[in-house]
Amino acid sequence: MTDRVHSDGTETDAAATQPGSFRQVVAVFTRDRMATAGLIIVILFYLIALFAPILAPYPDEGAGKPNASALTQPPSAENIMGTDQLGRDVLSRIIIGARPTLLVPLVVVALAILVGAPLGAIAGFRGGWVDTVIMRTTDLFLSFPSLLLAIAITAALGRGLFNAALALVISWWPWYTRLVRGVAVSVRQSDFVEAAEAIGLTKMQIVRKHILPNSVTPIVVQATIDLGIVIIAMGGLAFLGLGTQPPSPDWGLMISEGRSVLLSSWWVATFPGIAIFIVVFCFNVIGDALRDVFDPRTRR
Amino acid sequence: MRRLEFVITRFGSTLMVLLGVTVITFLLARTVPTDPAALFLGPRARPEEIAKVAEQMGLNDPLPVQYVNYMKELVQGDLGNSISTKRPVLDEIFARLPATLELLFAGMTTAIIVGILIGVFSARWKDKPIDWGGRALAILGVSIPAFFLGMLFQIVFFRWLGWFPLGGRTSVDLRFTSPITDVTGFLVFDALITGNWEGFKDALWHLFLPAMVLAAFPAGLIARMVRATMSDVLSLDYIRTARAYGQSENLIAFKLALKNAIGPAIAVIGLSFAYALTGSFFVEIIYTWPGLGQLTVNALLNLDYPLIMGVTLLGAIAYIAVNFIVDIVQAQLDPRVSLDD
Repeated sequence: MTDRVHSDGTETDAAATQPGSFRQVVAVFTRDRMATAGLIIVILFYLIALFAPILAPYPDEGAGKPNASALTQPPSAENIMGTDQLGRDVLSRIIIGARPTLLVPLVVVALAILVGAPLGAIAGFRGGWVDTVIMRTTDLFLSFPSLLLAIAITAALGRGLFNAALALVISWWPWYTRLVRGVAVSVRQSDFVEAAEAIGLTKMQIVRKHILPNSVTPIVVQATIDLGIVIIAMGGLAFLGLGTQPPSPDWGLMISEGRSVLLSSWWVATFPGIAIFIVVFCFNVIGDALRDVFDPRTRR
Repeated sequence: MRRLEFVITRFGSTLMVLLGVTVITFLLARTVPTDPAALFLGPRARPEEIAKVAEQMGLNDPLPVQYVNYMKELVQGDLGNSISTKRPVLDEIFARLPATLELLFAGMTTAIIVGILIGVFSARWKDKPIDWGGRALAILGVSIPAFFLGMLFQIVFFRWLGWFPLGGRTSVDLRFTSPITDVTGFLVFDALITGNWEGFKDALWHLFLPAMVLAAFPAGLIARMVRATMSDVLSLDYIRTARAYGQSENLIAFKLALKNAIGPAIAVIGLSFAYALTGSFFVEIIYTWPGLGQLTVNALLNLDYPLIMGVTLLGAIAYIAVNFIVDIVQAQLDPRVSLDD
């Protein structure tokens, strides 16, 4: 049923997902060279985001300072990726723009997990009316296309990076509630939880000690793929003018700004576009590799 | 009889969700920071005028009363008036709907066909070069944002190769040479049934790039899902039996396995539709396609909240309807699908 389909279209049959240990995660990367390459590239991009002001060749231009002497210059030795309509170095804009583009989605997904996962654990473990209330609320949020809901929320709250991020958290948490609930329901029926109940652990303790740890692997797998989707969604909000506001850089915003000079100066929009594509591609490769190992349903 | 029961129960829960959706769009419309009355009257309105309009619009009533009024208008098909054009929101939406539906239809059809093909071929030749290529294509599809792919295609297919137009639904001079008679609003279809060959070619030529861009993400999703379900089915006992009897691999994959793999894979079509729907916003801006996406983006710029919430509500309704249909089709295909699953 559609109820189990996740944000990336896989059926997260959480009950069938194996708990898995950290060592198994490491094993994925030692065996799968594509996944390892993906991971290295992603880490590189995040390091670039962290050290952006040091790495950018023209940090001022990267942050938005116009340079009237070099408007829309094609790629050259001084500006490897050319300059935009305001004469700013595109490479510097990409490096500085990596911060909102890559770091904010990380926070968004983390917050969505932080809100969604405990709710799912409670719903699956308590059952009864608590389960009904939580899951009906989840269904409600998921009956909107997630990005459409995020657009509407950002429009209502007012544009800006913070509101766009908040809107994405509001539209994304239910995916994790649903995921963790599946785990909780299956764990609840297991022997060790019965044993835990027998020795007098409270429900909260069982949720904390058994259900949440068992949810870690499915959450990690899902979060990896979701990060790619949220980066695209965040870029989309910026493209629509709802996220990062100029003159601050953001890859989605840069693509949108490059549209007006697309046919005469292709480099303005193309390089940030390639950057976004590489990162999301890597997240998807990693996510696929993880899922192949931890979801026995798709195991070969 | 059980089928009918399934449909009715599923319909009931769908109605409940719809009701909840209206609560969310209503609350969103009311969290708007700017006073709707002030927005409606424009920047030069006097405070007493704003107060009067606020009273008329019922903005001083308690929230539950406002919601009931909102619902009363909603069931009559009244979504309020657009702030920028002052015309009814529903009229604005319906004027733009055919263009978006045509794009969505073309994009989703392409995505479903291409997605299933890639998925099936990947699973049939698992871990062979065809599979690697198929998987790479699928990941490619879900990794390129529509707003970038659209522009990339414009550079390559318009600027460099000159094969396709930059945007729009038809060429500008088509209006004078062979205008398309409006029947359904689907230009390609209208031109075809009115025998307007020139118009048909032109409309199709304009539809191609936007539809391809729109199809990329859903096609990737569908391909991955089909590959996964096909792989599942191919490892089942009846397939092993078929192999033992010496049936050819092609017959096994394309006939025996596909039939059972397609059911579970259909579930992802609902979700693909959701991505295509939001994807169409970006595609429409990039290809100056005069549909709902353009309307919404203009509404976002003008802070036209009634219009934004109208589109959001309609998008949710469409998504819910698609999921409803998908569930029913899936239940038809697979008798094991039950309500409480």
